[in-house]
Amino acid sequence: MTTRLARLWQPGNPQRRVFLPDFWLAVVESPDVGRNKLPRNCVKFEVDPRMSRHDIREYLTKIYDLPVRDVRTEVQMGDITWNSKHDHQYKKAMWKDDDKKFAYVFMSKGFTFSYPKMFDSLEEDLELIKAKQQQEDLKDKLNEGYANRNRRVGRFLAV
Amino acid sequence: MLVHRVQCTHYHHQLDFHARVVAHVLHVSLTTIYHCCSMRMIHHNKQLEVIMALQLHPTLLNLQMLIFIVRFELEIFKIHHHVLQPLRAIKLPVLEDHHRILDLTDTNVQIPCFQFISPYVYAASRTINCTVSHIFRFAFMDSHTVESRFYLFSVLSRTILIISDSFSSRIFAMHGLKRTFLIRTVCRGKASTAADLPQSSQDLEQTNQEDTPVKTANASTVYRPPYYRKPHKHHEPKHMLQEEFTNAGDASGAGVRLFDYFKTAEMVNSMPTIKEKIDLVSPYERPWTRAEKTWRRDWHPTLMATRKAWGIPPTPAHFDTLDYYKYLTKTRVENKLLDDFYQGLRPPTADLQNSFQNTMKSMNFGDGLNFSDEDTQKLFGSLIDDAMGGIAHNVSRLSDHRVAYDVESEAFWIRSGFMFLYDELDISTKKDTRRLNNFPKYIGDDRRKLGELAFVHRDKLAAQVRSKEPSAPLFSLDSEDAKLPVFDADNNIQETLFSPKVYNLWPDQEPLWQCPGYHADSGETHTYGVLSVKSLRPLRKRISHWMGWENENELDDCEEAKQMLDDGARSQAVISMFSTLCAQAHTHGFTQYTDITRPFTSQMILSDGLNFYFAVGQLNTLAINVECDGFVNPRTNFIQIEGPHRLFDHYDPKEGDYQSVREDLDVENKVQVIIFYFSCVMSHLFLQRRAASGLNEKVLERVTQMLMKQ
Repeated sequence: MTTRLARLWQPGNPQRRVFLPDFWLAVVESPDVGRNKLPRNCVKFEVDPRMSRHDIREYLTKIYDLPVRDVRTEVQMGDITWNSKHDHQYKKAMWKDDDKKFAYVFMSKGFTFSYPKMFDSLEEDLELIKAKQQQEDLKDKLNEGYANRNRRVGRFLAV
Repeated sequence: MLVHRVQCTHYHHQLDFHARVVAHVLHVSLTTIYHCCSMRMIHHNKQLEVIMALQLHPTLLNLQMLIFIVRFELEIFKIHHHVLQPLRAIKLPVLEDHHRILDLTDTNVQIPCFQFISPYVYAASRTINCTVSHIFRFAFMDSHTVESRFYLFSVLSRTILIISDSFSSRIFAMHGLKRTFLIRTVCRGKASTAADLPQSSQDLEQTNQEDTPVKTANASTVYRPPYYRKPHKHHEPKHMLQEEFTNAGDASGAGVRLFDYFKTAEMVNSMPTIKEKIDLVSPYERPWTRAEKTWRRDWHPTLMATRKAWGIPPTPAHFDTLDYYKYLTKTRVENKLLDDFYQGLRPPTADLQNSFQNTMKSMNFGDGLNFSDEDTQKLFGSLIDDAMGGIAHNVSRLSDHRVAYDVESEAFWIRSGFMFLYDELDISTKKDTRRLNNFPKYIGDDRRKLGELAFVHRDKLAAQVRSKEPSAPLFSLDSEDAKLPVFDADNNIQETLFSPKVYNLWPDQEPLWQCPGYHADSGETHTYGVLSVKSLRPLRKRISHWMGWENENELDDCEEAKQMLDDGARSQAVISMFSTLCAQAHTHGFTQYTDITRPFTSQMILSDGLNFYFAVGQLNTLAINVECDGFVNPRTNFIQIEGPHRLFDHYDPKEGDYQSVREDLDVENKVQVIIFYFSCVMSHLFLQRRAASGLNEKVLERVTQMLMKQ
């Protein structure tokens, strides 16, 4: 729960309390269509794998004062890198990514959450500007390689 | 007559008088016509024969209609002569008067399938001894315009004659299509053909008497869509040679889906026993055994995922399920008092009041807050016993009823409309695409990815009263009430439809049953459920969990928790009522493929021991498993829910007495025994509330009324 080492507890000491656990939560975007679509009052988090449902509920209600009604968690196994993945009989795992834990937190009925669009507009504009600029630049140069600008006009070849 | 100059000499030998006429009338060059026709000819290296049946008005200037049809070799269209046989069984009076409009709907002739329309039109014309023009005239009765002619030509240019929507919809009105499918399909061994067509028209009956022998089912009379017709378009064409100009049925996939549906219906009808019918329509696929999994080798086909139904828990496992359950069961919910329904029934409740209080005391019910689910179920069993005991001497019909306790009520069904589960957002184009290739089948869906999920509800009822006779329906199947929509017009269904996982449903891999308290093959005589009682006690625990409470004592003080309880109770009423009635309908021989022909009605009491809900429901349709073009089913199921009514409002632990607030609607404000009361004005009536000793009369009265209701 915490990386800080507590002093060894002796009889008569007060109960050991952790005021700032190491737990962390990160909001994850969920798609607007398809089977992973979520209702508006549901928020998906990636959470510390050590956290239980109860921890997640406590974390969000006590720290952020959110109206949490239901928490469901899902552990997603990390990808395995095989030495030869098609050889089902003799393949060996070379590397395995860490497992991830996701929490689907359902807030009270009227609550709405939408994932913040932080960089969308910025990226889009930059790309667009870049592309437009490129188009402008290329407009004159497009067929330059094929244009025969040194051609002789009005002369016979044999002359 | 002006004939356009043919530019391409390659086609000279095919020049035909009819083609010239067509070219003239359409104001296009002859080359264009031959060009588009020859595309097919070159591919198939067959002689193309253009037959244009022209039905022209005596004066070309006033041409009412141009009728033509292109007949290719029948192989090209994959139409065989035997397909046309059944049509020949239908004799129509030969039309001598060419100006008479042949109305196909009147004479009950249905063109067999909506694939390959144009050859059928041609074939139909041959078999019924009228010209093609008659049929087309029917199609374009009200569109005698130049546009219609050009439309036909543009269709011709694609080498396949696709008839306009107006045409197809007029000929293939849905009932007609359905019947046609039923007629033309066959189930093993026994089949009906067009000769068996039930014909309403008297003319046809007369002509049929003179007709030749009844057709039997064999390869020449049975039409099946080709195996390569799929309900989905799996691949986009990469170039023009891959482009297909399919007709409406193939383009949307509805043709093959409907064929499958009605074919299944026929197979269900041919099943001898009800149990076999239920087994046939069951979506259950057993899981692979260990041996099958162990001994599968790479050269064997892969073991596809077996279908599992989504299990709906006995009490809602999510706090916002009402709309979703309404969608799953296609049930319209009305929250209204049931006074009108039980009008005229005023049973005595004094005996029940005493006996039920004694029962509660003997079971140590107390204030009911810490009562277990098992005990609550037992309590409801005794409530029914006490209520029946109180009125049995007056209502002789009750002696014919059968009461069952701790009843299992299970049903499975398929609900369509879940194709959105296959949607994906394409990152590059940022467009929603439906991914059907290399995408796992969504659990519970059909193999063909139809968006038709299977659901199962394994319900536990505390008690059930059954009778031999069905209850009186609330309204008939044909009435407008049976066709009212489930959701309001302003309701956005997208806000409700999600993956079943969102509503905490889990795949259930156990075998599926239709069991409304008894099994279909058990020989049960009391097959109609009159009244069911369901315990909602586990819902209280769930609500306290959702609210983050350690116990459920605060439940009655928190508005949000009360709302959750209310929603949960209503959604449970919807799902319990539907599963009971669905299973009941199945045990009477109806399935989702052979929809019910009479409504099924039942009553239900739902309670957590403290709050009582009363519901009356009617099953109007089971055919909610298909959703495609051409399948029209406006009927919706119905449930009317009343509540909550508190069983009591105050409990005195010292004396062990219960006190309740009574609600009476009186025009005049007369109160006799008042401990405390307050009144408020409600729609010109005075709603009086007064506390009196004993349990809530309203609850006891309603329970008794439900038992008395016929």
